[in-house]
Amino acid sequence: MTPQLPRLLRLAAFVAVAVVAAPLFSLLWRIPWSELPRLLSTEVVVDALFLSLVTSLVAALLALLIGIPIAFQLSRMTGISASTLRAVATLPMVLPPVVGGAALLFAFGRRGLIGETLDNAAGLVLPYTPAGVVIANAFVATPFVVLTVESGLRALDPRYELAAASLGASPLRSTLRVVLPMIRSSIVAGAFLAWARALGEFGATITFAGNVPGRTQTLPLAVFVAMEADRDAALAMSLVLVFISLIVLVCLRDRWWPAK
Amino acid sequence: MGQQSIPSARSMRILLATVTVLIAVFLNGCGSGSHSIRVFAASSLTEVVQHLAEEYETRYPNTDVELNIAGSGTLVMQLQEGADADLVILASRSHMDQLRDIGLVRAPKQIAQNSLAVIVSPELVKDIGSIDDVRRTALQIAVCVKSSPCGALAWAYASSVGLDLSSATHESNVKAVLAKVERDEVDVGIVYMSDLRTSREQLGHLANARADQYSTSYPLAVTTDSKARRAAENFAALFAEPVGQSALTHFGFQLP
Repeated sequence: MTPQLPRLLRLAAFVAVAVVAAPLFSLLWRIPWSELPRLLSTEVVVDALFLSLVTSLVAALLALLIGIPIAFQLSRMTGISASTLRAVATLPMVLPPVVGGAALLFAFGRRGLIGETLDNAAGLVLPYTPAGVVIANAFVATPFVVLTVESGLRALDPRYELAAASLGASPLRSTLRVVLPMIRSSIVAGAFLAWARALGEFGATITFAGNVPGRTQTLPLAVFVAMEADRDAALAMSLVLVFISLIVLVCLRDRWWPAK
Repeated sequence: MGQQSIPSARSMRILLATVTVLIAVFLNGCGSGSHSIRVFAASSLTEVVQHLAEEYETRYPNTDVELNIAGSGTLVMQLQEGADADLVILASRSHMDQLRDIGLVRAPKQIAQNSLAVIVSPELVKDIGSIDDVRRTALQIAVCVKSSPCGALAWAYASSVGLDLSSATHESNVKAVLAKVERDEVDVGIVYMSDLRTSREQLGHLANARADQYSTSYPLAVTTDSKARRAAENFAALFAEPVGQSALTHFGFQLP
């Protein structure tokens, strides 16, 4: 039997849920439902949706590629060095995205520390390209992979790896064949969270990659522009983003917070 | 480890007391003391309204001027959604008409004019000297979003000279375009003459590109339900005085 909650706490929770849900409800209330098909089939929206899906998926893969090794390293560290590395690796999660975008600009911008070399050596310019959007998205999304995968690794009983080693498996083999399969659900959760975060990314993208329709104007940027130009279109696109984000979170429930 | 992270009851009480005091001080500071007027102004007017706000505060030391500076499109949106303003100055008549048509402002007056300028980043000043150079080379261009006054003008201008803006980045206001050109994050930008004038960088200006034929006027209006009508009208009056007129011309605007 589940212990009962104090009545006051239940009341507080009810009020809190209402506060959280009010803006969402207000958004739905304003949606011009009958106009949706027309609003969502304009070129600007279709381009933005396609670009958003592609860049956020690639960014999620990139976040896995960067985040998993960091998580493995972190899971074997303790004390101040672990805290420091974890802070650096997850900083983009709490950093204002516009600061992240500015930092990326100083690194990979046309006059950036690395960007200038890339430009001179290979003619590779990231700002104002879809690749720039991917970089910005991956930057803010990677911490989600680091945190979920690290917590998965820390929850893992080390005896499995020790057993694999005692049976003659090399560290690489035991990582690939024993550890990775066992933390699969953490990796999947991290990937989904990273993807959802990338899909919603705004500040770092507009700062670093600009706002070029068809090239770097993702769905959130298109919403931002349409808020001034065409309110109904902005609402329709917002609905798409709310819908996708909700689906991700509902599907994730059992992976992110271990189900009972 | 677990014990360490749970704050003691005493430190929680201290934290709570501090927060309470801070909130009290904040609410008190907002509610009492001097009057204030809220001026919503288009980004291109940044320097002018900042200058006049200082002038106003020296003349009327008991009144604070709160400036809300953004693109005209953003300001219209904020006002449509119920933002509280006393005075509104926008960069195009059509934007002000949207506010007038729904009764938010009455009787707008024109205070200034501004025209377009095609500017080139400091790094490319020597290489790009005409609009033909811009058309020929694959340059990164920045313009204002189409829904803004400077964006509407820029698109009209670009189509008249056959300039392709399909890979241009759309910035939410003209100061953002200016900043990108100044920092050499883009090669070319379409801004106002006033922005060129106020910039501290060594920007190139395609003076022969005939962009100055595209101009916009700046309407000013007191909001219908302003609670500081007199003060707002005093601020508006500054634009007609020598101090306002010289500020406008100094920062590159034309008088109507």
